[in-house]
Formats: sequence, structure tokens, C-alpha cells
Amino acid sequence: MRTDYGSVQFVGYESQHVDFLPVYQDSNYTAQDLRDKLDSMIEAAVTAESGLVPGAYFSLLVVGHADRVDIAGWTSEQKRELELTNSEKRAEDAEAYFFNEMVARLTAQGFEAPASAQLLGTVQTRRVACGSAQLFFPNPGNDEGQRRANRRVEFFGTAFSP
Amino acid sequence: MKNDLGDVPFVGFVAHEFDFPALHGRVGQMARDLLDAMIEAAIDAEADPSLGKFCYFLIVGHSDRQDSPNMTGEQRRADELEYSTLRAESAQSFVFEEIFNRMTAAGMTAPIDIANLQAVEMRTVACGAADLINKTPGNDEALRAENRRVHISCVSVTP
Repeated sequence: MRTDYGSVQFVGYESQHVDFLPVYQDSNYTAQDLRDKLDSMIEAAVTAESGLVPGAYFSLLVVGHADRVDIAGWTSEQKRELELTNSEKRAEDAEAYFFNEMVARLTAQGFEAPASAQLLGTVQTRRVACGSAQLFFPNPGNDEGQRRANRRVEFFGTAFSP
Repeated sequence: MKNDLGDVPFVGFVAHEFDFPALHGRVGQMARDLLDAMIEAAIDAEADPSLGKFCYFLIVGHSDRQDSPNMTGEQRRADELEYSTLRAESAQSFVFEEIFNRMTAAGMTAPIDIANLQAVEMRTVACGAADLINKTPGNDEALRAENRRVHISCVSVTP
């Protein structure tokens, strides 16, 4: 049986920042229900990886986004490159947060945790970097609030069980 | 046990083309065979979800950069996103229809739509022109065609 955990989006990165934790902890941008939704995905992944439910499996997709780069004097190629890099790094750091949370919870429950996300047995994680292809605000100008909304990551979760 | 069935690029859409079945008919046999193996794994999982076999598809759509001088930057970005979305959606429909048709032809009860798949997950992501293979294709149509693509990846899980 497939259980779709849907998606949860974390917005509000500062310019050129890629660390997930400050955004996760920033209550100006991240409401508790978003943290709770991510928490439910992490718990489903922990359950799958622990082996407590035979046949349980969890799949995670992390999508990173950047604001548009409007630095005067830069070529469009330079702008596109920085946008892609920032979105990649955001997705990587968000995935690392998810994995580290899994490790902490597995260890706390007495299970052996894998050394890296690639070594997860019944959890699959993937990342996609979207650069600035999907802007909430296509023309943010100097509005830093709109630009921070463009800088974000999305988590998508699916659990399977027999 | 996880079985990574790979990440298969389907490359070579014509400008503003998004019909995946048309592209599928033009690509090499190897790409078609790899996709075929993914579809068969999905059918194997969906045939009896109680057996604990699962299949996860990720379909990522890409566009070439839009360089029309008659468009604003926002219009270009919107055009790039639109066609990468349409390409990913067309590929997703193709994969589902193949699953449906093959299951039906084999006498199995196929799910009526993607939402009703029990042991198969399909997600699409549209990347616009964020991730170009050829960053400055200029007027070279071959380079631009390489930028217009979808990537289909799949992981199957067996108990």
C-alpha cells in the first residue's frame, strides 16, 4: 500500500545562504505545522529503516530552489550558474538535515544507523535542483520578502508497506 | 532490496515540442529498453501490491533557454518552465499508459489513473532551463535539442 505524505515547503533563506537549519528554526517563516509535517516524514523513514515493520519502505525527494540573480554586470550564464548552485546546495543541506535526524532517532532507539544516506537500506533519498525556474515571485525587484520566498526547499515523501 | 534501474535521459525535443511518445519513437533502442525495464518492474509491483514490491519513478523535465528578443526575462522564464512541465507530464502519461495497457492486455486489473496506483509512485519536477547541458547554444539547433529533455529514473524494491 502506498501512503503519500505530500509535500512540505520551507521558504525564507537569506541571500546566498544554503543552510537548512536556520530556515527550519525561523518562526517568522516556518510555522509549527510545517515542522510537524516534516517530522511525520522523518518518523516514517525511521520506522522503515528500523525494520520494525517488515517490508516498510520510504522514499524522499528534496527539491531546491533559488531566487533570480539580478547582479548588474553578470552575464545570463553566470546568473543561471549561481542560481543552480544555490538550489543544489539548499537541496543537499536539507537532505543532510533529514538524514541526520534519522540517524539521531535511530541511534536513540537503539538501532544501528548507516554512515551515509547512500547506505540507507529501506529509505531512498533523491534531490533535484531547479535553479530559479519556479519563482513564487517572478519579478521581486528590491523586495527582500519576495526574494526570500523564492529561496526555498520542498520535501516530498512516500511510504510503502505490504 | 533496492534495485536502482538508472536515470535515463530522453533527449532531442524539437523547439516547443513536448509530445513524449513522439520523442520516444526517435531515440535509440538502448534508452527504450531501459525504460521498458522500468515499466515491467512497475507492472510486476502493481500486479499484486500485497507481495511488498514497490516502484518509484522520478521524471524531470528540462527546456532549452528561451532567447527570443521579443520576450521579457519573465516571459522567457515562464516559457521555459511551461515546456519543461509539459514534457515531464507527457512522459508521466506515457509511462502510466504503458503500465495500464500492458496490465490490461495481460488480463490484469489496472488502476484507472495515477492516483490509484498502489505500489508505484510517480513524481514529476519541472526545471525550466535551470540545468542546461549546453549553456550557450547560440543558433546551433543540435545543441539546443540536447537541452530539451526529460530524465526518467526508477528504483524498484523487492522484499
